[in-house]
Amino acid sequence: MRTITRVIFFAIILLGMTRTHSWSQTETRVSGDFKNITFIQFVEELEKKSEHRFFFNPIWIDSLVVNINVVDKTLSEILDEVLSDTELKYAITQSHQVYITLKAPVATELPIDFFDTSLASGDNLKKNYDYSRFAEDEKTKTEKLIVIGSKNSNTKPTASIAGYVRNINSGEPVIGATVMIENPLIGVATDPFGYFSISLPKGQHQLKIRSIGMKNTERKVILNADGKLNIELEEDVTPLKEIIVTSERDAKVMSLQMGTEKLDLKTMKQIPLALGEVDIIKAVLTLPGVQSVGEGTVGFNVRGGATDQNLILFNEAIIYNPSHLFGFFSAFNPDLLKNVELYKSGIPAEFGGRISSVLDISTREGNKKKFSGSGGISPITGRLALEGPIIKEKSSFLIGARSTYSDWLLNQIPSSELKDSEASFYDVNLNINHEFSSKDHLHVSGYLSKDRFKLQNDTSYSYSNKMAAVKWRHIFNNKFFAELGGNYSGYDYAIESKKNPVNAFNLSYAIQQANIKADFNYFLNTKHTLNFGVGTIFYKLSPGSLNPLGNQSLIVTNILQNEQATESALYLGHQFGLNSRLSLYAGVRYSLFRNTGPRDVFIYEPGVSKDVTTIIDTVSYASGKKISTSGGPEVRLSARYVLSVKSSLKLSFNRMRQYLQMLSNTTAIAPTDIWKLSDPYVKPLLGDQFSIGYYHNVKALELSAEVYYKKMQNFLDYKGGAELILNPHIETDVINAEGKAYGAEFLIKKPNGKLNGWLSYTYSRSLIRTQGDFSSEVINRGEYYPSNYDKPHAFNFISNYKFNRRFSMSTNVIYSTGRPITLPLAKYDIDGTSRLFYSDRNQYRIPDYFRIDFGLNIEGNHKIRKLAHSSWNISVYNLTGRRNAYSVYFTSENGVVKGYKLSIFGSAIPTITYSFKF
Amino acid sequence: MKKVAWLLIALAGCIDPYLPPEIKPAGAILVIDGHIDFNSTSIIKLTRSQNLYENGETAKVDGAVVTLENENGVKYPLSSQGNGNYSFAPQTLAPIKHRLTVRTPDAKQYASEFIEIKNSPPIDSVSWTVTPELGVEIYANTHGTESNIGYYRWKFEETWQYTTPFQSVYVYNTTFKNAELRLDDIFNCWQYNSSTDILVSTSSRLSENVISEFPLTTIQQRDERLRYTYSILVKQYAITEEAYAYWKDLKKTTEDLGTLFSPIPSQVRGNFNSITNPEEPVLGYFSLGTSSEKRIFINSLQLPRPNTYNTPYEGCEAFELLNENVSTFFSGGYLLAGGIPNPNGPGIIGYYYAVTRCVDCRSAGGKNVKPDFWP
Repeated sequence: MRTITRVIFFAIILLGMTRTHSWSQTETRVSGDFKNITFIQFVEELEKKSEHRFFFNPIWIDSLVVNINVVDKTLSEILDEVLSDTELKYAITQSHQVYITLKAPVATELPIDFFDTSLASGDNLKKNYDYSRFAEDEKTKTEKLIVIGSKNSNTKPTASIAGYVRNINSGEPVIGATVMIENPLIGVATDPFGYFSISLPKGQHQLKIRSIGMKNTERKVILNADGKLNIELEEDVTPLKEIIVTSERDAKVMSLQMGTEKLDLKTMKQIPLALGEVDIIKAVLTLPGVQSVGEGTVGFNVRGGATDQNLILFNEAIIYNPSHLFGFFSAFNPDLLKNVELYKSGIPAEFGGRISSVLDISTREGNKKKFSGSGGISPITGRLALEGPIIKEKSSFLIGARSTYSDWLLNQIPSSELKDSEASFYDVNLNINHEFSSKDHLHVSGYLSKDRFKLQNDTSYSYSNKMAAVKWRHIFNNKFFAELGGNYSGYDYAIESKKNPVNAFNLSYAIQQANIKADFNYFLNTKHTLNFGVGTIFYKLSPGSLNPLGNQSLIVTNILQNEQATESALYLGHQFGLNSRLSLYAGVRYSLFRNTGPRDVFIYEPGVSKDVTTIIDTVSYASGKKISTSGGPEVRLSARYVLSVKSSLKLSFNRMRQYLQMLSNTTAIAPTDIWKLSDPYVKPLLGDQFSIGYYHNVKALELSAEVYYKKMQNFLDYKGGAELILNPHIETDVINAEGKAYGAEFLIKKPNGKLNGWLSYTYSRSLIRTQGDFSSEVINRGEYYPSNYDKPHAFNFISNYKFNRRFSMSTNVIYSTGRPITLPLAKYDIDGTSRLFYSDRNQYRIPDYFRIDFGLNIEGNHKIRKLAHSSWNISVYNLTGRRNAYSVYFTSENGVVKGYKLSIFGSAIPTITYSFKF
Repeated sequence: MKKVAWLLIALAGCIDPYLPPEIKPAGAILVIDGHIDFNSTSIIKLTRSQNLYENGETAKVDGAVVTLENENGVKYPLSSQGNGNYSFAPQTLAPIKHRLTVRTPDAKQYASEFIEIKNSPPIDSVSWTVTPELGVEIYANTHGTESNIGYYRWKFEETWQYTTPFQSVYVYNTTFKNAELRLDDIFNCWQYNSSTDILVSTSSRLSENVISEFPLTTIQQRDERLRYTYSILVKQYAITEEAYAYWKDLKKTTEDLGTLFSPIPSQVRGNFNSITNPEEPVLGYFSLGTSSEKRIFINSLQLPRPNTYNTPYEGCEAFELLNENVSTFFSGGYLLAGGIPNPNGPGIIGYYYAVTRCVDCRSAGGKNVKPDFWP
């Protein structure tokens, strides 16, 4: 193979060869038109056309583009021309091997008397010596001047550099790395493939590359014309002496994007754990503007939005239920994660379908260079991930699995309530990546999770998430690339009861969606970047089916009609820098939703409240026939104005549309919650958010303040005692409402240093008002009332202190106002038993929430090379043992009303987790 | 889903009693409680709601005019019995819709919606099973023929026999200051208890109007109720779909709360409205129709016998009182039980005595009169 490493040449050079040119006796002659192809493609062509095999270091030629037309020329003539403007030299051996080297050509023959024994060829050398460790050191890389493009190219003042930023150890892309120059200040971030494209004025530049968790590096380039540059970053492996990195131009101040938070695995790992697992959702909950109803609940609320208003993307496919075991664990295996990005505002046009936020979770691609694995054991779960190359440097796999042994744990609890109870979950991930060429990549990923719980040998519950995604990425040229993808997401649950044979049943629910899309990125020039795309989602819902279980069961099969719909969208986003201070982003997404047959739709008497008794007709729609459509443009605007090198002001507005909503009249996501597509009665959610932010860096601190106002229309609320399961006419139980949310978020973050972490305070409100026309459709007389997750004051302190490379200590302090609840105002007797008369909805609050967590991370010794790298995490969740109320409730027991406070974690929860990596 | 939450609680969580801070009181709301079974004397009860931590009896509303009225305007006044009770004498009603109207002494008018008469089908059986984990579980079984879907509500009255640890054979005569043979039985008593939970079910998800083994109540195996003979009288009401929804909501908001997946509580009103002021809340649900009932007995011989029963008599102790001290026995709070036999001959040398509650079964709240229906 031609990619015998540079090692051989170095070896030969180091062995002290003298300069010799050697020409093969019979020169092969080649003809061909090589237009705008990479050197590698060029070499492939040549190898096809002649007997020659090429050997070179890909790093040297990765920015070289070949653009010649040859007619019947010798190889050396061609190479002379191709390499003319570069520092590359070549040498051709008698055995038709072509060695490309930097600066000096290789001696193709050894002096005969050099070795006594035999003639040493490159291959022999390779067999006898392992030179693979012979790597160019970082210093050489940064000081080396890289010439990109040939000088005689066109006369445009700017040129672009594109390429990949990768992890030097695993070959995996580094996402979100900043590639920039300081004068003038131009910077871009790498995309999910580690790809970047930056337009710069021609000439010499110092390219700086920064990324969380990776060592900073620089490249000196002379930019003559468009070219490629791949950059490999070293992991920030435990420098024994901590270096305080002061990123002179910080991303948060400079980037156009606002209202986003990015967490990498390292940060998440430092956050003390409740049950011994790194948990994305729990980590996200420590960010300003993110709330949850309480512990042990699934989902999270962003800036006053409901839990179903978050677009949770896992490798770009939607995950409907992001939790295991009632929210105690997130559904994502931490070993596979790469990073997590949360968009709270200023959501770019490529995202759509949910009105509150986007949580973009991406997994690693798998090590392309060597086989490795990682795993961990905690009191409740065990996990393992394996990864490695399939074809070295070309394709890789990553497979991970996680399971719980909580069944065993349950059996240790001496309680008759829990006898014969079971609770278990698992999840499995598989990722495969293949690089066909530097221009074509294929990514395939799959995910499956399953939860099961059964109580007292009676009713069993199970739910499952499924996901499969394929993505093909093609780079047309430095400035233009495309991604074509398709994915499938599914969520289903089932409830089974066999206790009484007459009533034995199986109830199931399923939602499936398939998505096809094409996205394009066009880096027009330094000032303009365009992205655009198109996509369609096909939905199929089985809103509920009840079936008898066993012969004796009298349960009537009740299958609600399927719902189907398509959601199509077209978008265009344009980012442009007006001048060095002002940058703008303008995007528009046009989405269109069609609810289609086959389906029977009830028609209600106009002018009265929708009720079973007011159904006047039923209309049948044939398969594929339109039942209702909705849609419209969604405008996304952002602006950044740089006030000084250290501060900036940002503005954003975005409108989002959401065509499916989760129906739940419990406060937390329950596994039995159902999703409902928009239809003639359930209108799509519409969310508008306006936000302003100020960002300022002071020494090592990043300060930011963001203010937002959000309006939500067609929000669903429920009539008291609404029945949501197996309800064929859900529209009679829901109420149309509108919501508004506003708040201010203040964040002080210290991203680096011995002591790092953040401190945030958020003031926020989230209010709802019903808009029904009839008394049964009005809650609290149609006035605004707090939503279930309205928690005005929230304070988070997340810190990590590194004593040394091996020991670090983490502390979280979390405070928030208690969530609103509805409390009883009076008691009264009915049938000799005391009952309660409740207040208006959400007029009172549960006691405030306060929690301190503490964690200690102990890394194994820091030899970089050893069999396995291990670490221990000891953490105490809820250190003070405060019994934070999850809920306050009243029940009538033997005719007497009693009040109770329910806490999920009623004491300090210590956990110890062992993790390993090999 | 309730049990799921229990699982979580068992894993880590906990429940503490909690009294919320001052809650703005809602004022006394009129509560109209009752069902009219026109085959027997029925009682409609008018009360007022109380503030949450108010103790004592609820206020009764006397002096109101309560009337049953049918769609044709025919009125049947109820007679005031005092203590907030208004009674309806059994009579035949036209098979059309009826409503209940109330005029309180403060001249406020209230009326229920017009509702249809629902007569209950007979209870097929009251069955029970016994398991070591749950003890005795009692079920109702029924089927209806009037409609395809049946909505039912049950109430029950339990009766059980119990005894004190010490049988009193003697009684202390305070006049003569001596012990006499006791003539009444204060050892055997019968205790009564009514259902408090809302018990409703429907056959709406079944192909037939059948209710199979609807669980009414469970009794732990060591419960005192199962020591001798236990009896349960189950009353069954056929109710409308709306009434079913009301009772279910009421149950949800007061019995099923506080778990992770509990619905958000909401105001549950009934089928009454204030005519004087439509904004004024009024509570209660009016229903009309004949009920059916069935009584069963469970004898301890039918059950596996536990080693001990949980009785309220733990810590009961008998003391000795010798004959010569009887005249000075001060009976306050104590009662004589049996005699201490003379080890050397006939007769007794003294008496056992114990705290009243350990001797007199009536102090536990039961009656020492055998009920008529008792076998």
